[in-house]
Amino acid sequence: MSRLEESIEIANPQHPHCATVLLLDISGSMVANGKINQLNDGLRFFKEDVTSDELASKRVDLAIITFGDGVTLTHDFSSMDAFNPPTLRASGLTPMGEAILRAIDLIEERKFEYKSRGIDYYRPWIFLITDGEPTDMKPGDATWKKVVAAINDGENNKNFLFFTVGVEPADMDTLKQLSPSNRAPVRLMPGKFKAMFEWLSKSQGRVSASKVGENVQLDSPAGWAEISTI
Amino acid sequence: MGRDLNDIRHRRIWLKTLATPYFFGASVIGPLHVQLAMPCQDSFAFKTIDEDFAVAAIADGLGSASKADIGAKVAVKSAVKSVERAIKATAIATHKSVDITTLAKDAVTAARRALEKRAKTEECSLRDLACTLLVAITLRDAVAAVHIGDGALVVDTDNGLHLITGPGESEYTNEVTPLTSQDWEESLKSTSAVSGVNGIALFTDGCQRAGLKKADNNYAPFEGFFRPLFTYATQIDDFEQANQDIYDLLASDKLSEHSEDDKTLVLGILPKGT
Repeated sequence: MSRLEESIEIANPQHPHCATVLLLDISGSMVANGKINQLNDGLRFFKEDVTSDELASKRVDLAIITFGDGVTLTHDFSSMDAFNPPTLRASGLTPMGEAILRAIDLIEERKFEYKSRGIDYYRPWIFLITDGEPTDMKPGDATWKKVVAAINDGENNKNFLFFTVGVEPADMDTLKQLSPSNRAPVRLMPGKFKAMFEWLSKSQGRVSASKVGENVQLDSPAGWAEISTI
Repeated sequence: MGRDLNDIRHRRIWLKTLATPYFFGASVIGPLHVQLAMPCQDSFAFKTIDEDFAVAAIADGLGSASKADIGAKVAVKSAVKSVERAIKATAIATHKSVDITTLAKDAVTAARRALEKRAKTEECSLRDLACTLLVAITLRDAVAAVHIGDGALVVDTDNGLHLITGPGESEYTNEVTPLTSQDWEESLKSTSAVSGVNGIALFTDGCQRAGLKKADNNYAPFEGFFRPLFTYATQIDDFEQANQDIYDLLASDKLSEHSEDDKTLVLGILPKGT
């Protein structure tokens, strides 16, 4: 150890956090074509992959909200080490609107906690994966307007990054209307859950490791997503 | 025996007391940049202009910009050159009335112009050269700074450590407004001259979590990091060795463990006032 290394102390040994909410559709239709099983495998893979990146594993702060039979906080924020991938079962409808609002609240609460504990943080992520249309709102109704405004305000005010992934047979047009205007939804290629989670893990590693200017630039999701042509 | 050693050390320091103001420092590439085969995107430059004036500048190229390493180099070099030129054009008799904050602002403006020019010769967009910049000018025991982006300037005075300029307002730890931004002028942070300064430390965000404590969303310099450094800075007698010591510190496990980013630290010792 060098002389100076020995003599100095570190002010803030805690790593900055990157709050991430996975917002997962587990409605009944996810049973079809083994989608729910692939999602479960994907979550296990995500844990492995993030954990293998030393830095990302110290920084990613993960929560999971599921929607199907109601909206459930399936996993509250924790480090990746403390995350035990759940085995999700598909049933029920698609209360997506309520789930999105819940995710946004959860992010705000988490940021408040970071601030009060003096923890630095990156812009949080909300990652919505769905194969259906919302059943608790319709384009144009009061809930819809509230949800769209919340997503767009959050993006524009840089409160979070909102990603939407449509899984077959999701109605991409509806998802597009719901997505922030600067980030269109992408369609998951059949069976590419694992590739998607790999991208998510890698992107988070990147974001949590380099300085960015006004725009957050991410790797292309080309390996697993079709860019919607709608 | 112990006494002999002390005598020798004492003599050595006495014989080689360095003329103030003086600066030393280093940049090291971050472990993550090595892994991703990226160049070191930090840069620094300093110059003792005469017995009154000195200037130091640090810049941190944005990881998201393709030629950020060039941008950072151009920024610090042109800033230092701008200050040097301005001082040399000033009569010695009027030195004391020089407004060093204005000089620092001019230096940042010169750096911005140099980046615009470089973007043309490199045939790239200005954004490809994106970097932060912190310019500190010292006049005897006074210091003023102009700054855009993150990184910080900490000074040591008889009343303890003070943060002169810090990482700024950005909510998120990795998002900054660079010197290449359209809004660069509105985003400049400038400080008027602070006097009674014994030593100064400029550092990029790779050292931020080592050197700054955060409480209630405000940063404060951390005694445990800076006190040993300022003590060391007054005791050096060989710049080459001192630069190497800073390099070794920045590359050490203790610092790398807390930031995978490039790291730059420049230390300066100022003359006593008047």
